[in-house]
Amino acid sequence: MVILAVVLLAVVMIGFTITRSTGTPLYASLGVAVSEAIIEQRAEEMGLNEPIVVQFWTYVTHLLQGDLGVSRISRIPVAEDIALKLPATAEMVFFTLAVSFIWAIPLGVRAGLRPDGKLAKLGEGMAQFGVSVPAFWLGLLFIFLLYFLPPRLPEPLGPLPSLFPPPLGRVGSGVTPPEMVTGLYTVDALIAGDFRLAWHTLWHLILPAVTLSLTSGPPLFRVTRSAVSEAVSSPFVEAAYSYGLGRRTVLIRDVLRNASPPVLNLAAMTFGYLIGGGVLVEVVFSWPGIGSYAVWGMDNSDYDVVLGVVLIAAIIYVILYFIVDLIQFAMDPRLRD
Amino acid sequence: MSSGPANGALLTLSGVEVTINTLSGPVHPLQGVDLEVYPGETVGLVGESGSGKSMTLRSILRLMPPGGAITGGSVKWQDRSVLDLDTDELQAYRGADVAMIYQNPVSALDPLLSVERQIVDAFKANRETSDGVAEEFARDALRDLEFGNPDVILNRYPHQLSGGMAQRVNIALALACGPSLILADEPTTGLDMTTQIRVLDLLEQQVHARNAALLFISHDLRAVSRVARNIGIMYAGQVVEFGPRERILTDPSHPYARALLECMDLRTGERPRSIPGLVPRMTEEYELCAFRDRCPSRMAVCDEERLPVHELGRRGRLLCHLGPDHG
Amino acid sequence: MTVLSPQRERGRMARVFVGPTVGMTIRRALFFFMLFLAVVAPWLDDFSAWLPFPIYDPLRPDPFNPVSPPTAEHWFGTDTLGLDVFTRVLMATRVDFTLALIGVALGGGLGCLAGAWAAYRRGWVDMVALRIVEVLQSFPVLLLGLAMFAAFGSLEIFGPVDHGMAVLVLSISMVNFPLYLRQVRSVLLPLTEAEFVQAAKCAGLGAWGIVWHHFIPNARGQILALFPLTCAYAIQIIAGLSFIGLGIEPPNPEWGSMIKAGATLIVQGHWWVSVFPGAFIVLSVYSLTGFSARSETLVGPGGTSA
Repeated sequence: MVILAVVLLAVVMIGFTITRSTGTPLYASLGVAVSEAIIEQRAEEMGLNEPIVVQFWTYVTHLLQGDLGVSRISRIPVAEDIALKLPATAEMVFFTLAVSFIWAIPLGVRAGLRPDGKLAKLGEGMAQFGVSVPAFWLGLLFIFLLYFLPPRLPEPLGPLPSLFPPPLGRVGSGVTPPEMVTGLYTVDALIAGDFRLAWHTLWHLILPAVTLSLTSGPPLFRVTRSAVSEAVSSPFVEAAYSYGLGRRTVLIRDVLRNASPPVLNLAAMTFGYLIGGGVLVEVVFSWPGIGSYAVWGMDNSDYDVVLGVVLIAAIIYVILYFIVDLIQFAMDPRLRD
Repeated sequence: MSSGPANGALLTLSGVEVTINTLSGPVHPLQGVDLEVYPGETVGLVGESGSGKSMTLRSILRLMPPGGAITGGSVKWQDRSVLDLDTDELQAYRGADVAMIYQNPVSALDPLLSVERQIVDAFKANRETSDGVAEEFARDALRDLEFGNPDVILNRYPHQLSGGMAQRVNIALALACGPSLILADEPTTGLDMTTQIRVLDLLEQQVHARNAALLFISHDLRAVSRVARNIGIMYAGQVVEFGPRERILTDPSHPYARALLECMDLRTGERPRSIPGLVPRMTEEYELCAFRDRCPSRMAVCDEERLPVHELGRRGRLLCHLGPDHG
Repeated sequence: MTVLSPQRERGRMARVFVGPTVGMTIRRALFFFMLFLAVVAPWLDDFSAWLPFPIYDPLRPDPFNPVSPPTAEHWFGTDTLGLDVFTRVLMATRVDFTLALIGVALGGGLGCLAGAWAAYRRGWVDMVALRIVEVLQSFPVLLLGLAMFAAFGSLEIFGPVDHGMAVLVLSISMVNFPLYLRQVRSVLLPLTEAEFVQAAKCAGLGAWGIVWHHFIPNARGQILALFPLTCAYAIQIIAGLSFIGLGIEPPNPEWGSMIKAGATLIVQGHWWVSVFPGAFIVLSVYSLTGFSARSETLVGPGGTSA
């Protein structure tokens, strides 16, 4: 708990240092051709002439109230924008993990049980591929291969993309997003009872989620594989067989249970990591999440936006880290003593 | 070699061979093991590490390490061939007929499950019964094994147990299966001296109370002679001599058994010596006697002919060219 | 008492080229081939007569031949400005390899020293080091890069060094510092009590002496195993940051910025501008994995999902 607080404080301090060290916010917001007097006046308004400790205190108190500053371009508070865009990112990350749980974990379990099997080789091949390929390039490649490589259909149908536009963004152009409840479009569409819309939003999620899963899943596959193979060769697994317990029972009761802590740990870490780590895939698929938002801020030298996203991502990550510790604690009696 | 007659033996191993394929080539830990265990008796197997003792126990349960397989001989439970059992039959045989106690007591217990859960699961795996009966059994078994407060122990996790406690829990687990034969793989090796004796006595007492047979292996002849009525000496994947405790301890025929006795200093009381020469490499398959390079009584015939099997009266056996009646 | 530090003998040079498996040897050969191309890239033009492939000036547009698909004259086609993609991909190899190498060496080197120091001193030094690692690793890598660019936005502190490249290198170092620190620390922690360290202490060797002469050599295997993986990872980060316009400014050749330039073309069916530089990223990362004996990846926040 104390460690959590220390880490969070350090994260915030780094954030603070970065904003102050730039020295650019004034120029960025006012333009370069302003008189010294105006800059001085603005600096006074923004409290930049206060002692650094006071500035930091102001910064932290604002942060605690959820104030991450105001975008200099859109004039909307950064916290508001992030609250709006975080669900989009979260939804993408959820589905990414879901996809990883479909391929990486089962293949990892299988590879741990049968290291020389075909499925183990398939998994290792996918892992090799996934770590070698940059996600943003893979995303582009998917769009090209699926939508622009297929030949033109005969007239009057014309090229494929005009018939089936690639699923960029959270919904296609002209589609109204569902009423906001959770912010996750698929869930909101289901809540609204609109299955067509739910399917539509799911369709838009698949490509980014598969892209991110292929590139972020390999560690999950490998950790699952090594955790399972370690568990399966433990003496207690042999002992369980010798007591006459069945294969399935031993697999679930002993092997998977003992293999799951590192896997769950990594899954949570991957989630926290992807919240900020999916930036490039968001850009490729025009996904209006916090990653795209940060890049937008960067393009406009709107550093409060960049910093807000960085801070939020880091804080989410640290909190997840803490939650993972709690889960481990609950699962492993050895940690409880 | 005997062919496992229906002579009332509970377990009959004849000519059992095991091969393990490793990255650096095949290893042959068992090269023709012959052994019988009769109902209710206690048999001990002694040998250096690497002589195939543990692998013998594993072949009885058909629990092979990765890459390992039983490549020859037969394992018979009463008159059924264990090697021909299908998956379901094998699962029924394990535990209910034969259960095992492991060398390293703490790591043989699942670290994430409570003692109670593990005993209850082992109990229920081998009979149709309710949780209540199983819990009752667990409590009684722990009490029999001299745990003062079984309810406290039941709620503990393996890491909260000392080595001696964990080994008694392992004994309870094996007993929970209700087997007619218990295999014990160096069950006292990791424990300190006083705990060793206590655990051994408890094991023997509980096994007898349940009319089960015990196959006990150890590198420690002292520990084996404490519990076993019949003792086998293993060398290089074979049981080179087998016989009643009294004879093996006083007048063994096999040169290796003699050397073992001498270096364990049971008779002389002198300082232990080591047997000269190298421990056999189990990457080799021995056509001839594997001990002949270290043997003080090596003869010309040892380098020419395969080992003969001498049956020595009632349940004695010797694999040596010297025969039973020398020196 | 054993006073010799283990693992001090040097491996033979041949081990660098020949891997434990055929696949790894091939990957290594591929890597050295790419490295060779990267080194000689600037002088290729002088030898164009002997080369099997046509080579161009990577920065001179050809307004009469924009967006040409791959042909015998332009193996990888041309981009919107008519720049030869093949030449640029080769030149970019040089840029990406160099930046990755410098960044990893800088951050990794400091990380090793800090890790060894933490393992040697233990106590609060170790505690602080671990907290620094945790803080640095709680930032998603690309966002850390973004934050670096935000922080150094207009600070012209690198003198003659290209600003974008300098910040890229710093970002790579920031990412690698905690990775190496953690790895080296975990290898060395059990060694603090080892006999040869105690012996060295008795012999009056100072703290840095012990760290330098005994700790670092013992962690060498781990460091060498980590090095190719982190370089591969660094290449992906550099390309990723350039993809969103940070670091290397177009028209200077760099894989990430070339992919970005091709992104608008790919939706018109002109795939070659993006696909070839991306393929080179894949090849370079894949070839670097030929040096890592264990098939492991950097996991978690240090994981590869650029």
